[in-house]
Amino acid sequence: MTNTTISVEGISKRFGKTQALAENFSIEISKGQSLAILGANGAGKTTLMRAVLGLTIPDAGNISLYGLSPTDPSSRIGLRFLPERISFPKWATPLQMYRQLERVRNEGREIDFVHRADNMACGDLLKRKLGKMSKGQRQRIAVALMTCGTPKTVFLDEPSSGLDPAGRMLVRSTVAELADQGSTVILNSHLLGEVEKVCDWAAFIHKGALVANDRLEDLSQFKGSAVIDTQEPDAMKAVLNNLGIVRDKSLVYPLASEDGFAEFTELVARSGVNFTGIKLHRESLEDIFMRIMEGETYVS
Amino acid sequence: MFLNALEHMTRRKLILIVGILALGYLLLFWRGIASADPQSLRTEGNIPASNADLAFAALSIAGSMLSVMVWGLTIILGASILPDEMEAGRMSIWAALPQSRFKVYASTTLAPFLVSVTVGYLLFGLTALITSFYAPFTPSSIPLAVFSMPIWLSATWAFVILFSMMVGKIPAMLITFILEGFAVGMGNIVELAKGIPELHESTFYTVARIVTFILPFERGYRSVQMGLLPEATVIEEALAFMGFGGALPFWEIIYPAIWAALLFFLGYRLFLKKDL
Repeated sequence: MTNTTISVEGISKRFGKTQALAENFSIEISKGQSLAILGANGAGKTTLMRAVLGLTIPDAGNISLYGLSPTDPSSRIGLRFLPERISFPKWATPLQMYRQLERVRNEGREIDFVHRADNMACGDLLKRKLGKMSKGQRQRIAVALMTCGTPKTVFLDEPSSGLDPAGRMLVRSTVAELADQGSTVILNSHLLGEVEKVCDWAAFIHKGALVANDRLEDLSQFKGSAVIDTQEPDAMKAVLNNLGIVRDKSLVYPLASEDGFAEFTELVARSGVNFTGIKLHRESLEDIFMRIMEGETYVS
Repeated sequence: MFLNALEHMTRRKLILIVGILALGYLLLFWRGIASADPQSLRTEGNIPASNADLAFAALSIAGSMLSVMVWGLTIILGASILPDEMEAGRMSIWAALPQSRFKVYASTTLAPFLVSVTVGYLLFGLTALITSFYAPFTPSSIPLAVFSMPIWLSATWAFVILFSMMVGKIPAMLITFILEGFAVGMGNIVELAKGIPELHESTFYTVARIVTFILPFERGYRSVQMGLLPEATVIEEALAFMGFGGALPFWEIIYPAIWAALLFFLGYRLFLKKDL
């Protein structure tokens, strides 16, 4: 039996003159995976998510959700989707919205929603009209509505949008809880720090194309780098086998491990090129993101 | 899903406004008809008007106003429902639930239709009932009026739903209002021609007839009125000049429903291809 939850094979999508998803876009998402979809604005992250859900029809290619076409309603059983922008009816209370959703999905218990709302620190708002809530309160309710119970797969498009730091922390713990209970989580977020803490896998999309898709721990090809502050970064790069990236008045040089830093410092000191400082820098997800998005490579 | 859409629909402020307007209208109508005295009215040949004549006058005058109200409600609700749900981001939530797109489309669009038809039944029914208290009359055919109400509104509803997806809410409303007015005008020509043979043979009539087939918005309304109006009156000749040339053939009554079904299906095809 296959472990694949979502299979996207060779799809493409164009909106007018904009190529939202490049030709032959393919990705597989396994059961229980916590995948972050990362990319700059307009990279195609939301389009991919919507295509998988059957909300956007790709121009070419195939998508399967649990082996079924996304147009098959059965493929969406146990699936939850929180869009980036949603405006609830002003007259409704969170409990009324939950009941409306349950009329169709018919798979949850109200008590689970109440618990999730409590976890999102909005349990006291369940009988208040959504029209009388702040943006952040509505977002907390939206997250609770779409993550309550034990969903098979959850699609979250910028779930922390409009939330304060406390709210963002609650979203993180909710996503982590979903992953712990075995749900497949697909998360679109610009908050790389958030992603780093809750996802085990990241897919980078650049101009509609999938440019990297790997475990977070494996994405950092070099575990860290040495940053050499120098007035002559190009000269420094030349003596260091032409490796590294010149950034303003510094050279970022990849290191295979922290252990090699001391030895490397000696190498730099012997190079004959003037430098004012050298420090070890661990690569964060933001660094990886920038490196991939800018198409940078350590090898010239 | 249909219940959800209906709940959204009935909670709109527009429904409250229509309810208040309708109540105000009914109270005014009640007061007006209660103070009317058929004996003070004279028909052709100075014959005192009968209760049926009074009922005819009351229903045809009220009918014009009611038709605009119900038409307007159908247009506004029909044009708003899909664009509003999409704009609010709720449509993507409904469509991501385990239900087919057809179910989402049909449930969402049938809710405003049901509301419009119910308002139509209430307004026309209560007007006829109040009239009968003060000017007892026998309607020509209550089943015809009941049967024709959804058919009448289906044409407007299907048209505005389709156009709201093509051009957006406000343009769809304007286009429908304009075309409705044009279709009603052409429909009146067709009815007038039933009593004026010269008009019947003119090109103008042919054009008017074609328009009533391309835009069958008003055929059903005439059937509703024909069903409600009193069976016997002494001013039948005036009917044609008010746009009622007598009962319509059955196929012409149901034609708008078939036309609406076609547009509803076209709307579904469009919805199916839409990125939600």
